[in-house]
Amino acid sequence: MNSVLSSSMKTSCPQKKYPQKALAATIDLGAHSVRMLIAEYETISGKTSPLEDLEVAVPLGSSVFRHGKISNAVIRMLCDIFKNFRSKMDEYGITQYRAIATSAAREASNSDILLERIYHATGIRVTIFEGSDEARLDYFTVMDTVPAKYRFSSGNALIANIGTGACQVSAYDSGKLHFTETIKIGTLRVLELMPDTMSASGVRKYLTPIVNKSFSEIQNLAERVHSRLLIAMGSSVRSLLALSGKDFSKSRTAELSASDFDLLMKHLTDLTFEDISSRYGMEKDLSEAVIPCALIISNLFRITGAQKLLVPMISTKDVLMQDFIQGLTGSKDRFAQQIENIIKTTAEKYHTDAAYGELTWSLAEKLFRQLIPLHGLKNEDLILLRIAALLHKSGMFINNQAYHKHSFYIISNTEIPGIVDSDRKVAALTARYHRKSFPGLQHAEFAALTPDNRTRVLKLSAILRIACALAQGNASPDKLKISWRPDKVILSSSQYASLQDLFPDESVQECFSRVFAVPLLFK
Amino acid sequence: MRTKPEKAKQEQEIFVNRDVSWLEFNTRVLEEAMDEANPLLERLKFLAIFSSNLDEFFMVRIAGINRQPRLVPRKLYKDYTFLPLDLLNELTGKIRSLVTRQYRCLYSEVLPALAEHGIRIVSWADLPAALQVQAEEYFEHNILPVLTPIGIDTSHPFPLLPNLELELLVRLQDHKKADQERFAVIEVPKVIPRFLPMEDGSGSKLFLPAEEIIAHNLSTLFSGYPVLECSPFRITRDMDFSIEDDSVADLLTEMQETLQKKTHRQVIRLEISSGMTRRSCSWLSEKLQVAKEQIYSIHGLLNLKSLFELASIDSKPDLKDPPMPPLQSIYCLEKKSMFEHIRENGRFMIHLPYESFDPVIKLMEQAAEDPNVLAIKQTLYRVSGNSPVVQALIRAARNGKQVTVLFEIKARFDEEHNIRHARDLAEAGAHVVYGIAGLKVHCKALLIVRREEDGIRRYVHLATGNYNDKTARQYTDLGFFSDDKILAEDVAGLFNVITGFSDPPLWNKLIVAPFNLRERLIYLIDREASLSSQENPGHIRMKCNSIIDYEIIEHLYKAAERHVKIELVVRGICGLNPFALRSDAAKRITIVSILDRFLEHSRIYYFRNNGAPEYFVGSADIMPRNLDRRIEILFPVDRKNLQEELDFILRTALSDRRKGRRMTGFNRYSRTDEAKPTPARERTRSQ
Repeated sequence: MNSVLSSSMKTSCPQKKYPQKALAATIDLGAHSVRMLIAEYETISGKTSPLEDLEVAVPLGSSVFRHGKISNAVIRMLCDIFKNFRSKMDEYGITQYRAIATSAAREASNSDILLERIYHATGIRVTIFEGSDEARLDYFTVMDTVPAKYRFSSGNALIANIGTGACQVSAYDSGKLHFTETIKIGTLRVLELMPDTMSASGVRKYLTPIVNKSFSEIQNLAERVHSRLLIAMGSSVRSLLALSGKDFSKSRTAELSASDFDLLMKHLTDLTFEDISSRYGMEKDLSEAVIPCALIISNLFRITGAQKLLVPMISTKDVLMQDFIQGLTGSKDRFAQQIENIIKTTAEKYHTDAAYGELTWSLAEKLFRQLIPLHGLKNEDLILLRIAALLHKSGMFINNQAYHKHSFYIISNTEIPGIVDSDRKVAALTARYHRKSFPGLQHAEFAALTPDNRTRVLKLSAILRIACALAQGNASPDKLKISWRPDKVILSSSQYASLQDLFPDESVQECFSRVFAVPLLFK
Repeated sequence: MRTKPEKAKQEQEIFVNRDVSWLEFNTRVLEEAMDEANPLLERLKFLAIFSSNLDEFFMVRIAGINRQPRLVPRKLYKDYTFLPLDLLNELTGKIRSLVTRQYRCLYSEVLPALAEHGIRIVSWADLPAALQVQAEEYFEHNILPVLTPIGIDTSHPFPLLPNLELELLVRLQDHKKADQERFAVIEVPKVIPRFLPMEDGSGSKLFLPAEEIIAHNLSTLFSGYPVLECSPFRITRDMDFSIEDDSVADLLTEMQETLQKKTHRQVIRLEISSGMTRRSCSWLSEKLQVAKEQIYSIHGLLNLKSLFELASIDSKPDLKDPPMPPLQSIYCLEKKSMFEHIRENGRFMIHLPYESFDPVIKLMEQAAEDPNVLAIKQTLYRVSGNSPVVQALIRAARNGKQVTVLFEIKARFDEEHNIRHARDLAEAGAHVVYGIAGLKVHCKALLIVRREEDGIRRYVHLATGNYNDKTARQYTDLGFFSDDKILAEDVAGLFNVITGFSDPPLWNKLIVAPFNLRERLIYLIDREASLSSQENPGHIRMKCNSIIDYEIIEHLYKAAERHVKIELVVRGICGLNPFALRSDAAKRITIVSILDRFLEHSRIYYFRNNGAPEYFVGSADIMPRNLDRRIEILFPVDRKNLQEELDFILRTALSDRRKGRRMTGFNRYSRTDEAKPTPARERTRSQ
């Protein structure tokens, strides 16, 4: 929004250059509440100043976890709230926003209807936030709040974001993301499974085996990650801390030793939900959430053998704004290295040939960059190409026959924080189509994509096919020459008399020309 | 009335009943009318204020007590209870005595003194013939066309009479049956002035009451019916309504419907002229369904609130307080915009009515026209008739700004006024919120969002008084301008709560009722007590309109017992009785009430805090309704120069020997003997 300065402004302001600023908004729809943050940021540095913080309680979680869907009344309530948010955005002239919905909306069978109703009423597009996306924000939360002395960026840690519907557990090995899993145990979800009349001590008894079972998979994985650092976050975790008797209100990160936590657990057994609510001034939902939360943390202590618990005292939603702004300012993605780690970990897990994968990637990357005028894909698509390049042979772990389909399955089902579900599908299909059939609507997974994403798969897989063929022949990326003209693309290499030798049948060229309408020639 | 033993027992009570305290406050108002040191027209004004106050007291407080079961004790706080019947008797007994004093003051002191200065309220008989003719012409042209006499008989039932309006009861002889009488009621039209001003040629100004003119011309109205009697009377209705607004979808409609029903509300007081016959009185009280104890026989003019008309005449400036026009604000004299002033100063304060209200209007007018302003948000409680504040908001809305106004339509006795303004704003495109269900928005806040070269900047104005350019000349109030980011964030959060956009946030600087004001006040008082010792006593000073919340009072008592010096400047109701405490604690509590030409209205709270003093200013008095049922704010004042200014206000108020009355006993206030200034020494007068 261009502003016209008043004459008094122009004459009286000192001649000073101010950094250019813009406005952004984030909206986070959780199980208990919906929150909007509005901030002003410097477009170069990304430095942020908060302007408004609105939060409205909504009974979304109880509706979903009890009935599996969002009630009409809650949908209408949310439409009204979002109308207010729209009005607030219009007040500031905000056009840049990010609106997400987390676990409760994610799991509702009618989440599409909710999102459509909100869009219809307000024009605000809300996207579903996957568990892996939450893991990315959890990483930023920890990086921004946990003091360096805990050496999170170089040590072993387990981060658990304990939500109302699910827990997002991420394990870091020497500061690198080893895995991230969404475990469908959340504080509100488990409570919905129980009779209303159950007492606090009854809840504990009832839930303990459920929680233990849910985390058993983590325990298997966690054997490789013997964490000394346990980090938990979430509103129920912060509320739990309030029961410890210690004052963490001025801390960015609270610290509770394992022994103090044991004392807290003992203390909890003596309290009813009403005690917790009235004595600590907690709302009913939160007072009921602390017991399942405590059980989960107790389990995590056991799994990790950690001696202390760290709790960042800021909401992950605050980090959402920071992450959004970093995207807007084109800042380097601080999580990029972690994405890389998870891809490599996955490749390792499925015994892929790392050197071959890297070679395929180098060739694919070169082709991608030099053919940008031809394919028109964005830089963000490079990461998807990398995933496909490194993991296209991962399916061989399952079966050599039709391994490309197994590769598709592996990539589709690997949580990669920072890669949204739809993009992961693109990467998976790119890997699937690196050999054999040409992408077609007769394949359900391909047909299920949006037209734009189908185009991306066509282009990326065409590039990957060439890269794979070149890698098979051990072509060196440095010696590969790529020249592009509007009517043809020519590949050559000083390693070979003719690169044609690496393409025994014409399937790769055929695929290329079908996608780009120009022939692929070899010198 | 209480017996001596009952009185003695009452004086040992640690609290003073709110209504009993209020009556003492109104007594102080009457004392200003009786104070010969005040100019005559000011004394007349205080007589009018006394009546106006009493009207409101009947409509709300007496009405409320009257509705309670009289013999069921009511609990005010812990063991502090009262019996409605006892309270009603005490109050009405005292009122009768005060009204008698009021009329004695008017007729024995003020009116005779005014007559010496050529101002007289006259009856028809006092007029020379020429002026009677003039008055009759006035009746023909101005009064008769708007008169609607209503005869009462079997086919014309007793009419629904409006609240507080002057009426005439006319008893007529039936022209067909000489032994039968009929009654008629004539409302003295409120569209005409109460007094017809005339001059008798000798320079004297004569004021003839409208009811006198009508009474003299009854034959014109009831031709053929001999008039047996014509007596003025006035009713007061129970106007203490609260709408069930917890679940009302349309607060505005509900309020409008409730207002329409106001003529149907129970009559709580009937004032009659002392000349009314028993027969007429009996008939009238039966029609109005009033009991004997609700009838007040008045020896003189009814409705002394109308004396405001006389008190405001321009021709006798020597009979008024010397004018004290507000100081022109430097922020309006310079060419800079208000935004520049605020930015350069960081924050500054204006003290009304000593300083002009113009900076507020200028800020709003500039915001309305400035293309860089994105949004304006404001709370409005009581605004003036042709309010420049509302006009600025309308212009801003028409200029495309996002204008949000919380118009409190539940502002008692201003409801219709506010509804009209609110509609005007809505029609201009402003987003008008008519109030919050269950809470009355009493805070005075303005937020302006502006886009500037260095980004978004928000300007706030927070005040102790309403956005009313008229009362800004009559009330003492403080207005605070700032561009403090954290404060602006809190004020933005406040508006989000008020407009229903958000649940209450964690406040950084603001203290907001009903969310955390009570707890914070208690915390501040208790903190002062905990830091206090005999060697290093704490200090609390409060300036507000009323202190009647017994929980807060209890904490103040405890603080006094812990050596905290407590100084309170409370204009009106004060529920403390320090004289029931231990004598050392009692000595630490000073209570001063100031009644002067301007209505004391500002609220300041000071806590010594062991040498790191904290000052708060805001909209809240210390009453349960403010702390629990209203949106109120207190904000910290942390600039040293502003703190010094607040300190000066408090010290001056506490040392006011001219208009300050100290509590010297249970619900008893006295001015010191030094109240009358001697030539040798001019005593402090805070205003």
